[in-house]
Amino acid sequence: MTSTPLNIVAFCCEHCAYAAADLAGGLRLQYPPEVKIVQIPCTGRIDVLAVLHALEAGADGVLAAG
Amino acid sequence: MKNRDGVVAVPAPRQEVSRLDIVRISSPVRGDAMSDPKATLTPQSPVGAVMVVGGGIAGMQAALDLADQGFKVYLVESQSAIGGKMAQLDKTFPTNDCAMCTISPRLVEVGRHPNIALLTDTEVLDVRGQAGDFTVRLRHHPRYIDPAKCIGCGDCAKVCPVIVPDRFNEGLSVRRAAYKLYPQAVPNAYAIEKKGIAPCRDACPAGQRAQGYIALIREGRWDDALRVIKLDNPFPGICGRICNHRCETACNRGLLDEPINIRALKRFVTDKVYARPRQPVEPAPRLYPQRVAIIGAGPCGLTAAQDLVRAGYGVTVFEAMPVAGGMLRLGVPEYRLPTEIIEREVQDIVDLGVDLRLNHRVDNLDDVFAEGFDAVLIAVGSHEGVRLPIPGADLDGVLINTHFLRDVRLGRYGPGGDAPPLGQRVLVLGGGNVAIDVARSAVRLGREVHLACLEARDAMPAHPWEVDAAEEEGVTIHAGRSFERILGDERGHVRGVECQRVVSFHFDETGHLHVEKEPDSTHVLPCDTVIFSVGQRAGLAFIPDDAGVGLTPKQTIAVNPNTLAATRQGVFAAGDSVSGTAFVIEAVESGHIAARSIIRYLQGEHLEPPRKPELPVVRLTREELEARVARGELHRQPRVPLPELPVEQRVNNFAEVEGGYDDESAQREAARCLACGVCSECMSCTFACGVNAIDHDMAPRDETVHVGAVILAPGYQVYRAELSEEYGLGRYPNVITALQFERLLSASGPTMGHIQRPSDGRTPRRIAFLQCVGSRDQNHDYCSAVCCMYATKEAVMAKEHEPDLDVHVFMMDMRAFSKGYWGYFERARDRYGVHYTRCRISALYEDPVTHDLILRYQDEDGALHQERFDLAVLSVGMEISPQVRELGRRLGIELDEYGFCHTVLFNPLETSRPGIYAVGPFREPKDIPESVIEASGAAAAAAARLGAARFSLTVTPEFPPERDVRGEEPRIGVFVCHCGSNIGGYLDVPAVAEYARTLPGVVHAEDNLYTCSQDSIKHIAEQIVEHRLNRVVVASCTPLTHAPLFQDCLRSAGLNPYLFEMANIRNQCSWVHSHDWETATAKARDLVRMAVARAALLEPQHTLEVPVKQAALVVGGGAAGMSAALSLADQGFPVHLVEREAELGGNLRHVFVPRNGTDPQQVLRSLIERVRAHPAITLYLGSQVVASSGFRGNFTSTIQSADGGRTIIQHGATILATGAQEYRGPEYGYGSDPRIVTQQEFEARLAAGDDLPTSVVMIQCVGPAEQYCSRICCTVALKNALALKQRRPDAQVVILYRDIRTYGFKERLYTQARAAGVLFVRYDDAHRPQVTADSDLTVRAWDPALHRDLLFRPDLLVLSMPAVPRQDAHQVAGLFKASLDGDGFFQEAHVKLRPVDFATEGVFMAGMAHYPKLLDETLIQASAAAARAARVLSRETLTAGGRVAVVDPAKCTGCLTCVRICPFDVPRIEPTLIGVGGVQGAATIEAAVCQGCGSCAAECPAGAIQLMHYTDAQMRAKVRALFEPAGFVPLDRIGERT
Repeated sequence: MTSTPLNIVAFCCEHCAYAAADLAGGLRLQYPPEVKIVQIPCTGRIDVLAVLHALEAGADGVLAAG
Repeated sequence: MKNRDGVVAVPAPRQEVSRLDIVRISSPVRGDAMSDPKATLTPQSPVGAVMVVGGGIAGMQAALDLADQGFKVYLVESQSAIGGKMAQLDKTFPTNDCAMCTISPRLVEVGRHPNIALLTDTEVLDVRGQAGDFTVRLRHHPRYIDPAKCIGCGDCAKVCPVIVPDRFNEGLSVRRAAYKLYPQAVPNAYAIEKKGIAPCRDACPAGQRAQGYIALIREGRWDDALRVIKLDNPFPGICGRICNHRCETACNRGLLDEPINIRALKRFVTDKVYARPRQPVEPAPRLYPQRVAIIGAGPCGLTAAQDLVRAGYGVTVFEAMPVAGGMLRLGVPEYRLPTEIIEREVQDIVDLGVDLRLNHRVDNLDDVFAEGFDAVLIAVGSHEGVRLPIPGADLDGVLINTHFLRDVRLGRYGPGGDAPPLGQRVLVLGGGNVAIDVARSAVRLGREVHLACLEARDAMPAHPWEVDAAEEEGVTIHAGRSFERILGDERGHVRGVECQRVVSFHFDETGHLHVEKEPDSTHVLPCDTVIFSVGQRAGLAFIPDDAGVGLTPKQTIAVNPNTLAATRQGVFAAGDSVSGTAFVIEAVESGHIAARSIIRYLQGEHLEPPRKPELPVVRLTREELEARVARGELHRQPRVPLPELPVEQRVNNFAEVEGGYDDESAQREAARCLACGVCSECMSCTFACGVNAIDHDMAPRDETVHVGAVILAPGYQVYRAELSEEYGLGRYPNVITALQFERLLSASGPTMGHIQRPSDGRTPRRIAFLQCVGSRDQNHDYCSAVCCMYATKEAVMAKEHEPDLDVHVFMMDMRAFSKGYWGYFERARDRYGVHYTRCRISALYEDPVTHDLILRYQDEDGALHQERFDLAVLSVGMEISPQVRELGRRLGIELDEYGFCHTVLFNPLETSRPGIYAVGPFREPKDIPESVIEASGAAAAAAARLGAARFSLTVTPEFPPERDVRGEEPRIGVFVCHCGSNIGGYLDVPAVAEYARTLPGVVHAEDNLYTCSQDSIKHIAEQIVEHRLNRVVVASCTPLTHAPLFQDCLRSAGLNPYLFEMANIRNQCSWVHSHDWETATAKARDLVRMAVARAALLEPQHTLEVPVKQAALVVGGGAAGMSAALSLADQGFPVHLVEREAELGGNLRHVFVPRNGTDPQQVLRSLIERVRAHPAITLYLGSQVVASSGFRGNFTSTIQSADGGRTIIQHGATILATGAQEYRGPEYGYGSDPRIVTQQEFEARLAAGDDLPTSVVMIQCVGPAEQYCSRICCTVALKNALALKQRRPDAQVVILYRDIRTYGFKERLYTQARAAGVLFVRYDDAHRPQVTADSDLTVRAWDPALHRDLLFRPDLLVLSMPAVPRQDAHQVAGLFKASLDGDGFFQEAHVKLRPVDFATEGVFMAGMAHYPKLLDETLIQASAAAARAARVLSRETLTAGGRVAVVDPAKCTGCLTCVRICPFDVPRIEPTLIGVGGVQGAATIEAAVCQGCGSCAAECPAGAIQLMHYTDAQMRAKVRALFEPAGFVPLDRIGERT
């Protein structure tokens, strides 16, 4: 059993989106727990295959943010 | 010529370079020193350290540039964190980048740099010595939190009750006294703001932290409030009732309306807490064998008993009476102080472990010592009432106050007790508080009570409110009477007191009373009982004369007033027995002092207390308070009234008279507190801090450091626009400054990025920006250079937030003078629909009902308008703060009347004191990139002075050798952090750690209170060794700030730092799912599991050292190229300077007219002379670079001379300074008529000095300048216009312009030109000037103000042609893998923060090829490029590798995808490599320059590229683990392609 019914994998560039997620935490902005953040060095690193693998593994959505 | 055609130049090895004459290498100084670099000598061995003052973006840049090239840097910042103004900004123009996202990585870099000492809260006191060897005295102000211990968890701020305006948010929100400047602050540590001691605390003998408990009451934290009171006073309930509250007299609020009702609030707290069942008190542990005897269980003795027993000593209190409490219990009537309160507070002390012996009178001091006590405290009070020696004093019916009150209090006369020994008419003699107590007690016993005293009614020693209460209860007061004698009746019983009326009285120095009486005023006050209440003294009979304890003439015990030690060793005395009758709060303080002395005595220390640093008392003035009221920060509000028992209900019983506040009224009263001291030392933070980082006793500390140079980057302050009263800032809530608006826009600002107007929180519909507030006015003759653009940016961002907003900007000129600015303005106007009106607004009016703002203005057509706006934003200009002016004065550098630091053209960054440099807005108002450029430039100048001392003071962190973990099964350690309550308060941390233990590969898991504390870091290192861990996962906060810390921990334990992974369960779980414990816990488990899965696959990564060719190539021999070459050569690096033309000078050869008094041609001559003479510069004239390859630190280039000869050179860095040229297009008839010339041609004629025209028309913004601002044309036109007017004052000069863009101090040229009679006519794009050139030269221009065409017939039409890129710019860019912007100028790596870097590493730019700029700007940028290059060249090797892309050539098809996709132009096809199918040629990626973004790895169709540390397998394992909660796939299958 997963802890939540949905899982969104969010690939976040460490230069911007990951830092923004940090700030969201600092500001105590609440967002759905379904979002699971994966730190990446740059959105350029996101491979099409990485997205497909995530979906194949069971992700309900993939967010690339950078 | 030193051109060595055809020779392969081998750069000099580093040793040779540093052998160059160091004196020669010293930087030139002011004035004509450019031609004589030896003018001031830098010491032979300068100090290899630099002090940078100011931690804003400029200071950080200078610090990094210097530290990275081998200098120790002291970065001095006056605030508690670095970041400066940029950290306050929301976005930056013209790219709309998030300011914080841009600056944050740099903050972290500065904070972690091993060679930057970050000195926050620090000011510079003075600088002595000379360039190369300065001695700087610094003062570190206390921040009260040790940044080395603080881990930034914020627990202190959570509990801090003090609210102050948040200055970081420009006063739009509040913060606590314990605060972090902003969320991303570096150092990531909190600070406490403490202005001083609040006057209430200062006035209290016991130093009660009234401000602290008042703030806690406001917060509804009753228990904490009581704890604060009890820190200094064990009798809060008692003092809350009977204290004389000098705190209230001192309260600053009294200057405004009424003091805070502090005593009532204190009582309120005790009532609240005491209403609940009493919590048992834990006995204090006994730490020492010594025992102390205390004689007397009054407030003084019990206070000392408490302190001593808490300190770990044995304490016995001897009390003669059957009850404890002393005068509180026996002297103060019940109606003022209920017994149960006393009993409770006494019990709290006794339960600590005090041995209280009631009914135990001490008869002899020696007996006490004989019992084995090590010290004795005499605190017997003054219980002996005084009977005046007047006739009749011993008559029947004459009583003594103390005995009477004691008997009443002990219940002797209560129901079932004796009848009170009172007649029907009682006369109390005395006017003090005790006399009032006596009188009011007698009233309650049902007697008619009179009171007679020596003093006049309004001069009675009793508190006025006590006297009033007595009168209300029926006491008749006979003031101003002397007591002659007491008359008795025949039975010897009192029948009256004979008095006279008193005119005046005084006590002489021996204490004798002298009374002047009214003649013939003798009269009798009839009574049948007299109670003396004229003073008390101590009963000291137990001290025999031979006990060795001395007494004073007043029959008190003689003590040292500082230590309270009596004349006999081991004996101390305190309280009323020393001081005579005083108030309970004084007894308490006396008890504290005695206890401290006794402890020192028992510890064998010197008895005199050590001096404590004294904070100033914060005394506000009426004016300050009125100003705060005027600004709306404070409102007049009298005391919240206190309920009181009506008189009729109180005269016949001993019920408590005074009522208390209820919760709501107490909190309302508490909210009136002004928090004068800011921090109140309530110690809430100290109790809350889990890492013991708080120290309220920190004091300022001075330090002396030695540096070779000083760089001043102190920044600016925004104009305090409340001084321009016409705009109503401070008075009208909806008028704000642009910096305030910036905070409103910021997602981390007070409204979380929602634009709300302050008066009602409503989203505004119409916003007006008012330009030039504090710039270009009577008090500021300069332009602040940034306001036009930031207002445009804020307007655009406002429209982004609220597309329906109507935004108007009221301005004089649109000063969009720099790169990308004009296009940005046009987008704002055309795409976002921001309205721009050319009008300076002179005043704002407020509609007092709606708080809307009313603007009246005239448009360009002359029509008058009146409009209403919801919000007005003042575009405030830049000023230099008084603190910075003071700094300038202390350092002995010249500043102008505004405080700006002017420099000379020859040496544009050095102040009047050699070795001290100035950068940023401190020199002249300017924006971020130029401040950054100047910072780098100053770094180069300092480095040139100190080059010989590079790496002399720097350190390299040392780590043990790495353990080889290859081939080992993963042994993962997981450390889950509570982060105090930040994580632990919102999710089940132990459960997450427990869960981690079950995951594959995990051999150790634990939870830590603070994983990043020094102790925990050490502990983790120990665990790594103990459990032979080979991978570490920390589940805590964000890797962006904390990963390097933990990675260093791994290195210290012998592990490769790449064997580390983090799970961010704070920012991504506890803080964002803070209302759902289960969900947050479950997600934390998920994130830990994902981290563990990736960790299992992590591999060590090793860096390699790539040698650096320590020479530079500078392309372009103009002012920029020559300056850059000289700067590098002065720093000791060989330079190859290539100029395509046969002579040096570039565009500077065409500049003749000085702008600031310095002859540009003199600058040129001196530059050429120095370049030619410099032994480290190899000059290649008439030559071009025809090939260049390699990477940062290791380039190879081919230089071809005019005759075709080639030189191949090797260099580590490249500076491109290829210049620009004046546009020569056909606009306005240029080229068709000799009377139409360019500005450059005109300047040449001015320089020649003959044939000067009598009338000139200049047209600005010609040709391409309609698309981008060429920046220099306005200044050049004004300069030339003034030069003409100077030589021919009768000459008529007309300037046709779109905007006059004289930014900064160049505004003064504009002012001078207008004063000199130069005529300015504005045109817009719809009405361009029309030029016809036949026999007459005519220029026709539309005057919008006059609504008609103007016709000019000048001798000469001067066209301000813009600077345009050279035709071969594309070729140059291609050769060096540099990129160009849309206008053909060089494109910098980052507009704001990397303004002289290309995206291609190791290649830098300077001069007009980057963008048009003035000579001083060019010279500065050249130095900056040199500094950036020196950052590469100063190292013998560069570290490469780690997170880089690696190609497996065997899989590479050579398809070029990676070559095309790489944003940094790193991959290339190496023909010698063998690719797929054995075909020659495969991609290779140079580790030294790979940025590690992974784009190539993602795009490679053959899967031939892997990004180390982010391999496909690692990423896939992490994602897949999310969906395999039972414990993911076995390790050996992870990463398989399925």
